[in-house]
Amino acid sequence: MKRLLLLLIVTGCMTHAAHAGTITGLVRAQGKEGANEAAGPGNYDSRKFKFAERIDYSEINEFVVYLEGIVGTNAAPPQKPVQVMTNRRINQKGAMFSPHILPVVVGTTVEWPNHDEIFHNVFSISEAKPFDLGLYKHPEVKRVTFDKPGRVDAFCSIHKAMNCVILVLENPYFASTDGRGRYEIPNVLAGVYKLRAWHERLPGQVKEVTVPETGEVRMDFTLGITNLPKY
Amino acid sequence: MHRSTSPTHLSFQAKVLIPAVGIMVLLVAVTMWVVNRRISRQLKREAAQSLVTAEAVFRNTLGIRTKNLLLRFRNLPNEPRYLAALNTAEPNTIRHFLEELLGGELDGQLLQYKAADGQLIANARASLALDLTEFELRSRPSVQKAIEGEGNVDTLRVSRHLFDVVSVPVTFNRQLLGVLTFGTEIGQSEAADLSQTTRCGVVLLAENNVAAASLQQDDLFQQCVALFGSVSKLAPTKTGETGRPVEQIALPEQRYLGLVGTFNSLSGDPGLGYVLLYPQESALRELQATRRTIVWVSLIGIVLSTVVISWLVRRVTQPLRQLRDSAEAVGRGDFSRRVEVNSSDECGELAGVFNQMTANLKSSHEQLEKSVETLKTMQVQLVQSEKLRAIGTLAGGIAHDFNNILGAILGFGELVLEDVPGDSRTARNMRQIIKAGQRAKDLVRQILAFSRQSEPQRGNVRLGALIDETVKLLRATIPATINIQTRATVTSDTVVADSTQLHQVLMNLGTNASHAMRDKGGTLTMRLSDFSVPETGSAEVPRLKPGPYLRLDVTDTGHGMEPALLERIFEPFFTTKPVGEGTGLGLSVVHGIIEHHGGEITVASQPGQGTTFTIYLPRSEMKDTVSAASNEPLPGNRERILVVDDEEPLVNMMQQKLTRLGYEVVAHHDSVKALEAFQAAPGSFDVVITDHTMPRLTGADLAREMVRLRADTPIILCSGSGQALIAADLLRPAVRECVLKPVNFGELTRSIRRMIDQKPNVEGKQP
Repeated sequence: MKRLLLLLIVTGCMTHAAHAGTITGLVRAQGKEGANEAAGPGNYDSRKFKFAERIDYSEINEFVVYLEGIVGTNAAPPQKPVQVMTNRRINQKGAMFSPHILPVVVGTTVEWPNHDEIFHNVFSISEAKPFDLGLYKHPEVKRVTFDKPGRVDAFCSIHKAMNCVILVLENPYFASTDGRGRYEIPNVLAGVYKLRAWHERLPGQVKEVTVPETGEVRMDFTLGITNLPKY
Repeated sequence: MHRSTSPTHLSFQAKVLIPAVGIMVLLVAVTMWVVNRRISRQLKREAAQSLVTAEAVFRNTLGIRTKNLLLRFRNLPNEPRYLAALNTAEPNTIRHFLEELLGGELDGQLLQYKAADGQLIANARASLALDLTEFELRSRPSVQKAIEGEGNVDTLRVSRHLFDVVSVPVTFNRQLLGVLTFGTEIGQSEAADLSQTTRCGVVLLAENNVAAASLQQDDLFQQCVALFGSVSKLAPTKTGETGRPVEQIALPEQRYLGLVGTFNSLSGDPGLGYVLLYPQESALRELQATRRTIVWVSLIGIVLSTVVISWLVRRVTQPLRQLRDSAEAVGRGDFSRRVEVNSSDECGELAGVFNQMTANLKSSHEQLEKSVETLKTMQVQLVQSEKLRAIGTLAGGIAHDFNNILGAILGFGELVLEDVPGDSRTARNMRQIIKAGQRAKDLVRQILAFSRQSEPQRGNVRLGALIDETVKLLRATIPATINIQTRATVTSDTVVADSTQLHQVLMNLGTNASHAMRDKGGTLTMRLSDFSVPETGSAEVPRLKPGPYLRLDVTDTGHGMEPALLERIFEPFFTTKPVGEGTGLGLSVVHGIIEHHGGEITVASQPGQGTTFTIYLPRSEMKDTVSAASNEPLPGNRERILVVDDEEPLVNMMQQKLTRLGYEVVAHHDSVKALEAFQAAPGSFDVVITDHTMPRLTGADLAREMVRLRADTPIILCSGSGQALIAADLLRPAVRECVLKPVNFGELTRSIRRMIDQKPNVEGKQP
């Protein structure tokens, strides 16, 4: 993550322009009212949560905020591949891909080094980039270049818990939220854009943002299923 | 009933109660036993049936489970993930894969992957307590079967736990890669589920250990293990077999029926089994409660029955007790006791009969008492009469001698009187002597009459004259305050009677009447009247025969008598007079005399007003023959008379007297000599006068001898006692006439005259 931020900063510096602002803000998830209430015994309403997945909305992060469409001249993709590591298994939960969400600009090559001692596999059947890297063991590393924008879900054929999302974007103006939901997109040319907040499981939200010549514009998002019709 | 005479004596109540209660208790006991037995048997049968059903369910459930397991796991290896992982054939990868599966995806506890050649590649376990080597070892048959191409389920034990093990072949591109073996424990939750389905306690056994159980009792487990050990060794069971022995398992406060079964393992492991426990406690408790209820109800029933029976028995025995009490009372002589008859049953009848019996007893008792009373009176009377008879006999004997003495006195007195001048002092004195002699003679007559030794001398008696005579006598003896009146309204006053006796009757009645009036004075009335009893009889005096009667009322105005007194007035020895004044014989003698004369005597009295005795005597139509006036001796005409008497003075007196009257008298005081004299000249005597009571030869014998010598000898028998006269009567016709001593010469000479006058006529009758 640090490396990614550094990269972004470097990229921003390189494409320095006189009229550029920063989009900053906070993204958080919110569930239906009362969804977080305890469904303990004696609570008659617990019945309705009986078969529902319990989600702690406050724990949800890994949001991605990005500008839609092609912005400006479209910066070139990074030269070095971005790594998605296959971490060693911790506890009994099995191996994981890390990071779980990886936003990249089109043309970026992503490599999957296997740090585990057992066989793993990386494959995707997503429209944007179907691939299968086959089974390989440490210290083998395999790479994939994503040349089309779109969402690519990658899995391990053996371990069902292992999966990651490569979000292939059209421009480099995106940011992942930190642990507290904050994000910052710097060096955005002044103008009016459509800013989208995305999450793996929640419906996205698009807001129109006017980026000033200098300075910051703050855009906060609250994602969630809030306006469902009532039954 | 309460008074038991011996210890073994039981009251009626006890006799009824003891068998009744005994029968009831027996009945209850038998009922209890039967119910207990039946219900116990039924319970056991039901439990056994339930167990068999439960086992079927149990096995069926397990069968379904294995089938489900097989279905679930059969297709798992076809998943790409499985294929991908297993295809690596890399033990680590596969082990990790298996571990991952155990970590969340599968609910099994053991996993194992073997290559197609049976080589173990990787295995995993959910718990470190499970022995993988044992798993590998025991799952071999199943794996082998899978290698042969058939997915299967086996039951086996690993580390004291039971497992359903599913082995499925893994193929890739139609090539057998290996065999994946899943082990799913049949654990506590399964046991609980099975228990819920079968409604039995489920204990799953692996060898001598309890693998899982729906119950948590160590001592129960021990018994189950023991039971399993004993049963499974005896007879290896087959699936679905019924009628297997059902064993009793008893724990404190817990009772079960247990059914033992074994799982069929591919490996043929005999140590896998189960025990199904059918809880009997509640049923047994119910049985116990039922038993208790029966006991209570029975107890209450017995108590109630006892009360009712004793009440009934009391009701039955109450009359009996009453009867007993009454019988006792009657036994004591209390005849007033009666038993209440308040029911119409046998007891009531008994009581009625008892009452009747009491009444009868009472009357009998009274009669008896009366009889005893009468008997006592009779005895007293008898004693008295015996006494009197003795006196009479004595008096009779004395009278005989006394008569002779009197005869001599009177006879010689008369002779003296004839010899002295009529107005001389000697004559006066002599008359006094004769008078006194006469009175003594009367007294003797009275004594003889009383002792019935004198025959009544019946004749025509003029009652009017007799009454006058009596009145004269009474007048002289009774006080002047008593007025005597006589009235006669009759056509004829003659009756056939003994004038002496009638005289006695009149004197008696008159004396009684004067006694009744001696305190205040009054009037004694003797009224003579005619009375006639018609052919139909008289209502007034029913005992009289029809015919003409004379009626004499002797009425006084004295103190009268109570009716009770009146009833007994004719009883002998009954007297109202103080001791020494009366003999009590008077009225009874009167009664006897009147009855003897064919008459009747009645009495009527009012206390304080007076008494009337009424005498009825049959009237005689004959003329008066015997006159009291014509008692003069008749002179003789030199007829020869033989006089025999053992007493010399009397013989002398009679000889002198008869000689003076003009008879020729030959006198003897020895009867034998007299007979000799008679033998010497039987025809020389016109009349023989002989005494009866004589030594050596009695008058009767003498008479017989004389009659034998001369048949027509007229013999007159003289006697002082009536007995001799009766004997003389028997001597007829030898003795023609009898004369009572002391001899009245008028009477005697008339007899002599009759003899001589009737001489040609042998038969002569005394009037």
